[in-house]
Amino acid sequence: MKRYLYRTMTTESNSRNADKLAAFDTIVSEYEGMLLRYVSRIVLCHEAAQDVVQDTFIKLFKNWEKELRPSPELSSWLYRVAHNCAVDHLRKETRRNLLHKREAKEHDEFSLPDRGADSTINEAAEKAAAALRKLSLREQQLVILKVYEEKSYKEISEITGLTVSNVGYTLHFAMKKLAEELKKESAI
Amino acid sequence: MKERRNRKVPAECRAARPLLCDYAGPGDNLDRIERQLVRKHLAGCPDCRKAAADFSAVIRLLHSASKTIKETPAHLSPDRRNHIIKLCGEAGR
Repeated sequence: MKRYLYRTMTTESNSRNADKLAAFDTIVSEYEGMLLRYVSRIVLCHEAAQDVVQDTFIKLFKNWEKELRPSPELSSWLYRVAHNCAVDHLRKETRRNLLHKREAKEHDEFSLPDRGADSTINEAAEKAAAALRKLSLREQQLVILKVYEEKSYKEISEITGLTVSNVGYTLHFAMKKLAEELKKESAI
Repeated sequence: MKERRNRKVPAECRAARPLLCDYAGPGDNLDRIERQLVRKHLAGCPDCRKAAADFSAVIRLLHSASKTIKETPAHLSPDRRNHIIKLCGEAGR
């Protein structure tokens, strides 16, 4: 009888794990593109972005205690953890003194393609990307979430843990810095 | 940062400035009252009007910059995905 019960429990446990894995697989499909896009803008390397997104999903599987289904709460959690993993990645990279490697990759993946007729536009765009990289990681995070991910202040507040008014002020000052830098470079 | 220390920024500017980025951006994230507040303030404040115009220009440029980088893959590589599922499958046992 005991053996039968154990076997039943084991089967139920396996079945629960299979269900959780299936739900997790759906979550990966739903959010992988969003996270890759977001993390790539921070780490500036597609391969590193894959590492960071992998770590983020593993953390999700291990730490998320609620039901695994797409929701704004889950999305905010993923952005937050992905950002922290990306920052960790950049710190490790700095510690290993591999910045030169990053710059080489950056040049390869994030430099502009052919110039040609749109050279003026491309040059200004390149200056904008460079100016963004000069901001602190927190400021970059807010600008990326606002400008590229088109999140509301409330959503950014949920992702970052900052108050809504802090999001507004920090973004204001980050945008001012970008504008000043781009004026200095005669890009605007 | 100079501005942060400057306590003489008028109260109307302090209220409008955190909303300027949203006002200047493509999304419509301000509610009716916020939008009205910003519009009314910009009509009478050249400094904030200039800042809003600058922010619009910066946002346009950032979007141009985005279009010029190589496209970010939309999916994890199959190896990476299998690795995640395998690790999580083991962790779940």
